[in-house]
Amino acid sequence: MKFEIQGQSLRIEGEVTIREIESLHQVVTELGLDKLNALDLSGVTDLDFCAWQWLYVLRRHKPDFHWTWPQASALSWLWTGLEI
Amino acid sequence: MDIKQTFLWEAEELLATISEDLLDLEANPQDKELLNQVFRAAHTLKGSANLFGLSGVSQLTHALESVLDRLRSEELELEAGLTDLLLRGFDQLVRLIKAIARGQEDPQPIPELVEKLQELSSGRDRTHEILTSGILPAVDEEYLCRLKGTDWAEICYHYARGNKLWQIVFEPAANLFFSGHDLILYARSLAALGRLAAHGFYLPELPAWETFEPLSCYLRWQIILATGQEVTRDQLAAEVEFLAGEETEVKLAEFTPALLDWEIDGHLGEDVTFAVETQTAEFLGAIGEELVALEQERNWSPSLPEAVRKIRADLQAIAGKQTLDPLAARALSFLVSTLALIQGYLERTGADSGELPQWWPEFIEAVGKALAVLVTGKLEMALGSLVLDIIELCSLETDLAGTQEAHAVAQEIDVDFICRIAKQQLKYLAPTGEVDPARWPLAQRILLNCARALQDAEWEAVLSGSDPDLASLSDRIAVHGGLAKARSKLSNRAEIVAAVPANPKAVLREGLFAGGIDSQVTNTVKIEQEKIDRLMDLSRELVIAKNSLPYLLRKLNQGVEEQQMAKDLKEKHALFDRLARELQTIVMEMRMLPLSHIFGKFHRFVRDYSRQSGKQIRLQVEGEGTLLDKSIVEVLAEVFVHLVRNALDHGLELPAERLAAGKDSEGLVRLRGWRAGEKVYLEISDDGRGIDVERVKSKAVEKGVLSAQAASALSREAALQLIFHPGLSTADQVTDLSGRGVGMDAVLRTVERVQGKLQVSSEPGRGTAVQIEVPLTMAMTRVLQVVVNGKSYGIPSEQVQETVRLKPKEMQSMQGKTVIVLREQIIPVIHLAQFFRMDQREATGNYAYVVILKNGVGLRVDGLMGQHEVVIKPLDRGLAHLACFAGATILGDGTVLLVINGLNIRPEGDDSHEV
Repeated sequence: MKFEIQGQSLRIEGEVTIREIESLHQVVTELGLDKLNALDLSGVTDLDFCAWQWLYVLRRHKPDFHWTWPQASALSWLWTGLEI
Repeated sequence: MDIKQTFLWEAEELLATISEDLLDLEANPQDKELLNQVFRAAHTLKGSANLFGLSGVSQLTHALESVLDRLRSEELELEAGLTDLLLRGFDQLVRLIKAIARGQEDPQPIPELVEKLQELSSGRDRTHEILTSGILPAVDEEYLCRLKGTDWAEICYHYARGNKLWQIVFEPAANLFFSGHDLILYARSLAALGRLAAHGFYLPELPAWETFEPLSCYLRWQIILATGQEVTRDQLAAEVEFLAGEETEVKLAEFTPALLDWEIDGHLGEDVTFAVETQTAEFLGAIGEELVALEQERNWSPSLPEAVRKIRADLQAIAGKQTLDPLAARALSFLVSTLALIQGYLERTGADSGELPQWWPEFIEAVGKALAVLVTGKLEMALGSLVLDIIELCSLETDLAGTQEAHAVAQEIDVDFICRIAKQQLKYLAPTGEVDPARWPLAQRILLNCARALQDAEWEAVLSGSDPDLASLSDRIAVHGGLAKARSKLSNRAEIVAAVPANPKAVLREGLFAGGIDSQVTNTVKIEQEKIDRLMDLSRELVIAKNSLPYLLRKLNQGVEEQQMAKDLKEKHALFDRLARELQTIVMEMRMLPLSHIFGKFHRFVRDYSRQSGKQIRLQVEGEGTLLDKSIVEVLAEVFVHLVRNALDHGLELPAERLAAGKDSEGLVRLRGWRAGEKVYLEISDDGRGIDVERVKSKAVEKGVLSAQAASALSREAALQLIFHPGLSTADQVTDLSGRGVGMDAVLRTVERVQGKLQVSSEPGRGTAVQIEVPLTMAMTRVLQVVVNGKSYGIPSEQVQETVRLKPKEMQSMQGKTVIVLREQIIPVIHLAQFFRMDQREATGNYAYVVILKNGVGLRVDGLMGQHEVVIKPLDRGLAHLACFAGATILGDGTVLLVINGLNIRPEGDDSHEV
């Protein structure tokens, strides 16, 4: 997994798993949720339940972010769950 | 503590004992006294449950007691399958007790489990059949209530096609991730047996972002699976049963035709009408007039967004009225979202927009008309006019489409209306059956909004192409539009069920999600009588000591000489000092828990694992009476789940492999604990295959952690440290059991959170040992007081390697960063004043002080003020996000000392810190 913050946008790519979530969470928390307004997940190829939970909680906190969903169609059934 | 609380506490104790006794009984089936002990405990529990009118607990305990009675009379034998069933029964009792502690009045056990136990105790000769069949719970209607209208549409669609439908609910324990389970993998293996018709995630309570712990599991998950008729319950159970345990619950049930018929034609089958109170109707009428005035506007004005906001707020207040009919409330909620869309548009466009858009009067008229119709009680008409008008307006006007507000409006819209609109668009797109490409862009936009409103990602994917695929589009509409009549009722019903407080299902749902997940039954600590007596003695001594103070005061007023007064004060200080120390010691001891709170649960864990994996395992526990601070015990309990799992899964070999290696077929896992001074040590070791260091190295090279050359130069000890690198796992493949859990890096960080250290050692073919060292208590912490710009801060002494005093010129600059060279090592230095963005004062002293932390970073401060024993309190919620502080404490002179968490202070160049 790779992630980068450009301006107010967080972009995540690749396979997102529990092993990276803690550091991702720390970076976002230290930066401050209010410093972000967009989450680009278009490059996400897979994710585990821990990563999914993190996105779900983030989505509940920040439904007004600009969310870009992943292209991977195999994941589409999961993303529907993020529409809160 | 009230009497019911006492019952819960005792029940928890009894159940813990029963579980342990059952495991002992399995090992010693001839021990009649042990069996009697279990029977008596169950009997006591049943009696107490009856006293409190807890019919569910009583019924299940009675069923378990009856089976135990048959064991006592030797009509049944305690085979492994029966132990499994009994353990599951008592696990279920633990859950019922937890539910009562969360506030549920009289939770009921899983009927199927009770039936099995009753049948076993009835004496009919079906023992083998009962013990070999699944014992997963039956359908959970409370979760069914959480499904959306669109979900029901999918369910009905599959039902109509003759598929079997299953409900699978995961209620994971908070420490799920530490045990290595990934529910996504489970869902995928289920999906391989059919098709996921619907799913939903539920949070009992949304955690605040500041306190959200990403490695704790909060979510519950419901999946509705559609399969062919040939798929059996046992097949599905085999996929998920492994997850179920004392703390994680998995529910699996088949939808019966009767259940679906009940949902479709049952108690919510009548046509819904509603009446608005006269007063509310008058208020709505007045709002309608305000809308008519707005409709006349042609130009943007600063008062316009405010006028819309006010109308929206008024409608919102009415929608929130408890006396309002739920369907009327839903329609109003839809109007509120629509007005939010308009308000958002007005605020975004601002003064520069000048003239209002062309759609303005039409849009406002639609809202006003709908409101007027709502007052008459004709809800269907209100929704009809609104949906058709507003969806088209949202789709056609690029200013509105795609905004968050437009999305919120879409979410309010009824499924059937959207399907109707979608069908209209298909007719528009292909009037003669052939697609008219010129019409595609417009139809695509409207259909996309329909798909988004229905949260149908698959439909959205079909629409994302540049050419329309009429067949696929029709198919997706059919998914939502099939069984039109039934679905129309269902989609409305799902919303009604969610909104009507008097509805029993809604009440049940509230009960289900009351409280947090995995709430502790009691947050109590058992205290020995001897300690209570000692506390009483101390409190008496304190009162006597306090009474001597007025006497001293009188002497002072009488002008006693200073020397005598100093002597008296010194004596009193010594007395108070002794009392305070003794009090502190006793209170600290009360916070202590034995290590059995960590180690105890692994007897059952290892037994279940052994039965499922085919590995023969002996668990040896030593030093479980060693005491440790409660807060550390709670943290390490999670860590040990991971470590034990690792040992069982990766460390121990299967019997054949062990025999081939010349070992005993039975593997050994040893858990040890002991105290040495102010430290407590915990160790897990196994006699398995050990860590393959070469594989660790090659993984590290593959992941780019280090070069092949550097890897080959590493010693065995140094290479072992690589397992703590984030993202480095040597598991070749992700299995049900491991490879997806938290990594050893997370384990290390968790241990460091309680100021602990972790060491790992491993020998090929001989096993692995992980040793953890933690402080006896975290209640008191030693801190080094430092001064920065005249302000005092504390640094936990645990984090400090050493302090050095330097001349300012010894500070050097390397690539723009401050460093010092100490014993030929370059140490990066962070100037705390700069880090805290303070105005930097000129250094006045001849020396600079650097506190070198154990992570190799130096903190430059202005002065060192000595060390103190303090109690660190966490910062409150507003400041809790400041990771660079561990908390605050109050010093003897009353000043507040902020305590720095040195591990979260990073070298220069990292600008992400906000202080």
